[in-house]
Amino acid sequence: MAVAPREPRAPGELRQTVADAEPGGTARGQAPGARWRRSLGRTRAPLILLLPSALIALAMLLPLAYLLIRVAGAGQETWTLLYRTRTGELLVRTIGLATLVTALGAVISLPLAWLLARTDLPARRFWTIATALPLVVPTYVGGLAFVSALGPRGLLQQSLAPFGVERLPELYGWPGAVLTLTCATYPYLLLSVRSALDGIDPSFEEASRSLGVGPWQTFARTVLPQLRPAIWAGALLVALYTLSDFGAVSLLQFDSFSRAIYTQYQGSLDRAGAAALALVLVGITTGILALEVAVRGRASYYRATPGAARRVRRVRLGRWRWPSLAFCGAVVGLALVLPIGVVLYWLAVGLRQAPTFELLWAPTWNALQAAALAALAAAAAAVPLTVLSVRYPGPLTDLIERTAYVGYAVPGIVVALALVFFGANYATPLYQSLSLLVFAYVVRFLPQAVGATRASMLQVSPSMEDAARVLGRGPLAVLTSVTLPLIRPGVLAGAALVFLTAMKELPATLLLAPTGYKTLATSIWGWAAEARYAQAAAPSLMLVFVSGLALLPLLREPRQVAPE
Amino acid sequence: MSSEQHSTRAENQAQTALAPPAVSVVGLSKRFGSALAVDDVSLDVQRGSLLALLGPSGCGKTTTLRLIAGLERADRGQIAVGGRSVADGSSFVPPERRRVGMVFQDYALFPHLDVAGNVGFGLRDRARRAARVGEVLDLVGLGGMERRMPRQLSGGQQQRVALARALAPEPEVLLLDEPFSNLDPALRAHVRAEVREILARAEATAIFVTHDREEALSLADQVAVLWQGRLAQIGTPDELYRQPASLDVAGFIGDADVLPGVARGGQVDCELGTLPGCPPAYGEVAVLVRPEDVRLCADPSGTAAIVRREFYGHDQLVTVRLPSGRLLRARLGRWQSFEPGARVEIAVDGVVSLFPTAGPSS
Repeated sequence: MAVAPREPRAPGELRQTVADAEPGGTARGQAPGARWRRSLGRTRAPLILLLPSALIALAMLLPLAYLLIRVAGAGQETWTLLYRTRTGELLVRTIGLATLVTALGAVISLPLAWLLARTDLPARRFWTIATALPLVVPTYVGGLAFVSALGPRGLLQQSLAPFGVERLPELYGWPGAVLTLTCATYPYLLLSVRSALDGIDPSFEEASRSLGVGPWQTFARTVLPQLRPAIWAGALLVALYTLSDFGAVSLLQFDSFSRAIYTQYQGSLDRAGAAALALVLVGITTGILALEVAVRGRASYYRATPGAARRVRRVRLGRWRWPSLAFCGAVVGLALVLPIGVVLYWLAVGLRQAPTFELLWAPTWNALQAAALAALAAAAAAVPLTVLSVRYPGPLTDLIERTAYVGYAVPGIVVALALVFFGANYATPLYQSLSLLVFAYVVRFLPQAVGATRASMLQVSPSMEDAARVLGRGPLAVLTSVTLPLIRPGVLAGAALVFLTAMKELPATLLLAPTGYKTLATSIWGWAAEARYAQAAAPSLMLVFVSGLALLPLLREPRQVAPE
Repeated sequence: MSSEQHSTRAENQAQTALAPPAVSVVGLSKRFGSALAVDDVSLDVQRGSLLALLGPSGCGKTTTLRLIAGLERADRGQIAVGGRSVADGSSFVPPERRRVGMVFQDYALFPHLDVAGNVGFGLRDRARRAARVGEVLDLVGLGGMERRMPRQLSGGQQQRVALARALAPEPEVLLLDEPFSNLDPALRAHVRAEVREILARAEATAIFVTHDREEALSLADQVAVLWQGRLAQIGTPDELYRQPASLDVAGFIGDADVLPGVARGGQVDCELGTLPGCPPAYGEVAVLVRPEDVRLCADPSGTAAIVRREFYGHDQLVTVRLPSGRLLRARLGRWQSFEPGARVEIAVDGVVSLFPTAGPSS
């Protein structure tokens, strides 16, 4: 709160002062945010929040810290190895892949988001869901579908063989990896951009039109700049996802860092070498995160005005309706229908050979169990972290909150590697146990739980908690009787997100799962790596189905809790 | 109306002359970063009385309220509630053990609880809870609404639930933060009277924060004017209006124009002639003239000219230009009609307020 500078006033200025103090002047126009900010930082953070949060933060840092120590202690030969394994080439390929996939994702998502949010595209509701659904197709399922359909001696080539087609364009390497990962990751960009489009107050556009600016110019000059933060946020997710992907790059034989780390670890059991490679990968992701922070700092603030999108005037597509529909159809066909169709084909093939459904139940149960435990743990960890960072901001709590996001920068293969070392050396009872796997999931996916919980928490007026305090409840009672019930939607959404991603997680599961503990992800990958697609089909469909169930509540329109 | 208000206050003070004040604040200070939000504020609130904390936005009035509630920690100063120290240099009683009730500007009704759940939130005694909830809801005129959810209530009803919730545990003092600012202006006067009635029936002691001078003057027994974190003046509404302690308070509490003058004890010479002034002063002074004390009389040979007229229905505000070029406002009954440019003669009723000016004014 700015306090007006104190200065002696000449009597003649009094009238002006009176006008300033007039009710309806500054005081009533005060934004709620201003009042909220005042409530922040009011008293010291209670220990019941600070202590668990600090412990969680330390736990999140554990894998990375261990990796650092490990590499620092390694000898000269590790660095020679980094040089020998063509690290430079790996760097170029990995960054190139992330850049291409992100750029292609933007090219797909921007027009798609606009079509869905701002035009009279037929069957918008259907397309809205269909274009987001590729999120439930894990990259290794997409990868196995593309390989078995478009690869050498794949379904397409076989069906074209009677026409004398002997070879199809090469799929392995760049084309396949870019195709698979673009299809799997563009929904992150699409969802981010679309919700930003929904949140933009149409009055900006109306103001622009009323000032004599045409519709296209209006889009370019008022809408696009406001979308920039959402584009960056989505692009960041896509890039990080691509960097950490293991399933698609290994099936499509694309040499990226995560594949190289795995090969190094499996092939030579040279743990220090794998650790060194892992640290380079963490360096890349950290660099991208830093770039994003720098860019976002410059971008203008984007503020969603709840409920403002109701009066949006949709653009009439007219003759452009058919090309638009074709575009939506092509995206959904490639990213959703093709993989699912191919998997269904293999399922039919498998059923004709020998039904192997008994092999399905154990992995399904294991996957559900591990993912549910991870979701529970992540949601529980997110609550104290979020309440602390939103209500008691300060240097210490900012630091604690930032460590919760460490999972963004550390790909699954890196977390897994660090925990393998750590478990084998210092925590042998935990090594090869379910709890270590669940911990790896939490490190990886805590950011999602914190993000969702935080969004809910920001909507809770601090005066709710103040009111409960004044009415006689201590800090812990306030947390359980007021804060938790109010942020429940966010906590549940966060848990669902963690569940969904943990179900699909592959590299950490491969490295950390107890012996004989097969999940859907590891069994699909096992079959697909041996090109036994018919066996991979049933677990793939099961995984897609369960993920879809977890995704459905997240796709629902968020309901606004308004006083009226 | 105001005489009735006065007698209530006098009775209250007579009754509670021996009892400790409901709230006592001594030398309270609070700093946010580099800004001193509350600066050495001291005040007492007598049992059963209604105190308004009045000031422009950012003057520290809400912070003062939150300090009394225990939602902020003071840097310096003591606070006692019901004769019991709740904050001084060494000790700090958390809000849940201060026995204060608070009504928030946004009401802060718990959206996941119904009306009964909200009102009963602060009641420890489960056995008595339902009865007390019914009792307080009857008090605020919402009997039978127990099962409604907050979002199903109108703004005025939500506020009464917030009031009932704060009153239910029978606090020593009720703190209200801008209680009427979220209401429709048309509804405000009505709700104000209602709240006053409820507080009187509950025999509650209350402190409310407002930036609306009419609200403070018409509702409170005592008004404390806060200016840039400092307590500029505390007194009854009449005292404040008639004897403002400073030009700042005078201007904030009501419309006023200021003219230079030379005082000779209880009289002052200024552009409007020789007027009775208060408090007595000598030498150069600022003369504070309230528009409602100014009378205008059409006179073609008058020295002042009408500049403009704002018509409000129940009255009108007429601005005139004095020979020196200064502007002066007059609040007049609606029957007088002046055209811009018309010449008038000016008279001033009552006693004008005088403020010695430091140094020569140009």
